[in-house]
Amino acid sequence: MQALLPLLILCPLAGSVIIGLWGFISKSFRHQESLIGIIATAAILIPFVILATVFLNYDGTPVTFEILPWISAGDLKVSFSYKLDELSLLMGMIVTGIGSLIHIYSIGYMHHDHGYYKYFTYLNLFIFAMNNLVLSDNLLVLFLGWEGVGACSYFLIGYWYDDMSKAAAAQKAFVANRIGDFAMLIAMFIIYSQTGSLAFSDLNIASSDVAFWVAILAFIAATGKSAQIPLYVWLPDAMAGPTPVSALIHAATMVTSGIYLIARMGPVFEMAPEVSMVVAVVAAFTALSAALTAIAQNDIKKVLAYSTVSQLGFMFMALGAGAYTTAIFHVMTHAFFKACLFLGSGSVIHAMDHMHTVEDPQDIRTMGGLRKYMPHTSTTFWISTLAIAGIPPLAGFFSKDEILGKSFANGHENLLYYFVWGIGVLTAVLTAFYMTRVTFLTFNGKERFPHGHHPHESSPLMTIPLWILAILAVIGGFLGLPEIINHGHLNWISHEWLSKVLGNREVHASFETELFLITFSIVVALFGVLLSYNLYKKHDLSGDLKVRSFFGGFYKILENKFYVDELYNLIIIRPFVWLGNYAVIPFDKKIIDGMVNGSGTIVSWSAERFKYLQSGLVSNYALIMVLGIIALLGYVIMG
Amino acid sequence: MTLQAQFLAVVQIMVYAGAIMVLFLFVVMLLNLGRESDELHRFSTRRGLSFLLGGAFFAEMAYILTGFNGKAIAENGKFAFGTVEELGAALMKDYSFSFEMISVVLLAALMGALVIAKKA
Amino acid sequence: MELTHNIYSYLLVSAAIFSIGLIGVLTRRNAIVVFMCIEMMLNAVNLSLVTFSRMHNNVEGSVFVFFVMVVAAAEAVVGLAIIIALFRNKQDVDINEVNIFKW
Repeated sequence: MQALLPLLILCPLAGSVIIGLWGFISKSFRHQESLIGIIATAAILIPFVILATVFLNYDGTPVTFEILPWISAGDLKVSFSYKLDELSLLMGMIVTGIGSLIHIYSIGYMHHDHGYYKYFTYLNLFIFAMNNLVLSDNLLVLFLGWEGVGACSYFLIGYWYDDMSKAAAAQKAFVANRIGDFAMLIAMFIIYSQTGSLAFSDLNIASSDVAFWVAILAFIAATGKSAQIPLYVWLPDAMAGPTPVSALIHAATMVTSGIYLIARMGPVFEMAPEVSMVVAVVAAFTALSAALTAIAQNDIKKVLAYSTVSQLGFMFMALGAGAYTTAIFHVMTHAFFKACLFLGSGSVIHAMDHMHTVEDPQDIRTMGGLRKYMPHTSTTFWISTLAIAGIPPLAGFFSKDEILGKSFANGHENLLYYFVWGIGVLTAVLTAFYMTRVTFLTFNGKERFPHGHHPHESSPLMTIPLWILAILAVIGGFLGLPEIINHGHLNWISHEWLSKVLGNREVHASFETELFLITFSIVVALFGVLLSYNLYKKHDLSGDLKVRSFFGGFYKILENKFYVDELYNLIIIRPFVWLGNYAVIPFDKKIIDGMVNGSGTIVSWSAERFKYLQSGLVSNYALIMVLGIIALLGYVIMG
Repeated sequence: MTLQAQFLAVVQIMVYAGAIMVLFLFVVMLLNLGRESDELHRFSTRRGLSFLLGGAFFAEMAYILTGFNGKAIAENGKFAFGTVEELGAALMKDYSFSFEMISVVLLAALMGALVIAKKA
Repeated sequence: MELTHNIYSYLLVSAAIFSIGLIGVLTRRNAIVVFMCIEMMLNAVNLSLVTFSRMHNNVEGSVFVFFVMVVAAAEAVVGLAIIIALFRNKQDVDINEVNIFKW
């Protein structure tokens, strides 16, 4: 088994390289879609099987392996070494497991696309980077994966690059990520200078000042990768990429890397409680504003994108409350139902697109009543919607409730956490509302697409992954039963598994409080779902008008996503462009070009003067020679 | 001769006065040059500078060369290598390789001159 | 024959001849005359070499003189051949007229 471990990293890389090179060289290979699909899926399935085997045989000691030494410069020794402990096993299985399902789905979704082989090249490369990120045992390899997933995200978002707006979306994602990467680098520098090592096992910052800065910088990096305020703006635009990409990268894996990073750096955050609070508050506001924006969106993928931002906010709220295991728990359940939702939306878009009758296959205003034609998609989508809304006994209920419970329990120490809890509850209501809205308007009610054509259910390649994910969304929650049941001993994921690696903050609430909170969560979730369902059942699409009147003028702000993009444009982008035009470009033209051209000018000017030495007169030459000899002799005589 | 280097003196006469000057005369007669005015009768910077440099060179040489021991020759008695036998022996024994090479040089010069001066 | 004069005289004579030859090379315009001056310089060197050879009672100086003479002869031959070839093209042996390499 130990010998097979490097395959965890090398298989996806090999898959990417093989498909990429072969497809680049041979035109006939590009059309062998099944072969490409099989290679790509196998490259991810093999690591999943390996991880599952290690998981099942896990005895408590982390499994480590090293592939190559990397840097050995002075005191800094870093190698490509990996450690499979409880946390990385879980994350790795999520990545490779859901990754394989999405690969299978993509074989159906990307059928007959022109750049089929390129898609799978990038997708495999992404899994390679993501594996590096979650399985590494030191910060530098994690950072390699961090940047790698950012780059692959760029490739995949801008996959249909001949569309300028899609390419622009990819660039936006990359730039926003880059800002976070810069913060991460500085955090790594600080860590190295303080502890002399970049390995996770050596991560103990003694001074709380240093911990403060490291934690803040790590959080900024996480806001870039995991789409929180202020760097979340790239995620809605990233929907320009193919839907399976949105499912994999922007729901299940890449966006969870920020949470993974902070979970790993838990001890540092515990030393800096102010930062934890900042994390919780920022996360709460992000979750709320994203949920509000989602209510007013009509593009099915945009709703899911804002939903992702909102749910990531929940995960960060958990981190801010010191409940690191809970955050990872929500990562897992969210991966299940969000991937299912995205893939389901992909199925719908695929079907709407095939009809060739609607202008925008992603607009829910031209959908409706699809339940009749797409039963599998519809059922799995509804299951996932109820899961995300937090209806027991589906997965979302358990993880979301634990987050809210832990936030509330922190209120005992710090009153601000009560506020965070309140926003969390409000967001939960909104989540239930808008998810029910979008699901109802898509699958139920009146059929708003042109008659004469009707959509077809997607192929089994696409529906089977949907069902697998939906089933996981149903049963996944049972891995983490709430504390009130059997004093938390049935909470496998937090108490048995992840607690070995992640140290949660010790906060408890009394049995009564917890029971009240759970009941309250169920009530608000049901309220949100039923309110939305009844509203849209009665009025169908015009239910939106009631929502519009409820919010009044505020609705326009929601529709335009709080004008954040416009704000950034004004405050940040325009000054930079101005700076470039009036400071950098003249500097480049006048000074740098001046220096380069100037050296050429000097040479030709002096050559113009020096050429007269070549007079052609032999006597002159002889004269100068003798002059030189005499000078040399004189020098020898003198000294 | 006064340095007791008899062989070299004779060779000098033979080679220079006999061969090289004759060659010069041949070339002068071949080129059939007329009289021409020389640099020597004109006052120019080059002429002044060359006299100056020649003088400077002589001064430097004088400075260097008078650093040697003046009594050296008188003390030495008879010069051992002045005669043909001595010099020939040295040439053939210690410097035989150079001797052979120098004859190759002569051959090369001869052929070179023939080639260069041929009528095109 | 005993010598009562010292070595300076020989060396100074050699230096003088060399300098005169040098002035000649720098001053004269006729190529053939320049060559003769060069021969003169070589002769001056020969003289000083023989002097040193006598001084140290060493054969190497004399051997070197021998070789210098041979080389001088060879060089004179080749040089004069070049002058002849030059004369064929330009009908003139003024060294300052050969200036096609000027700027």
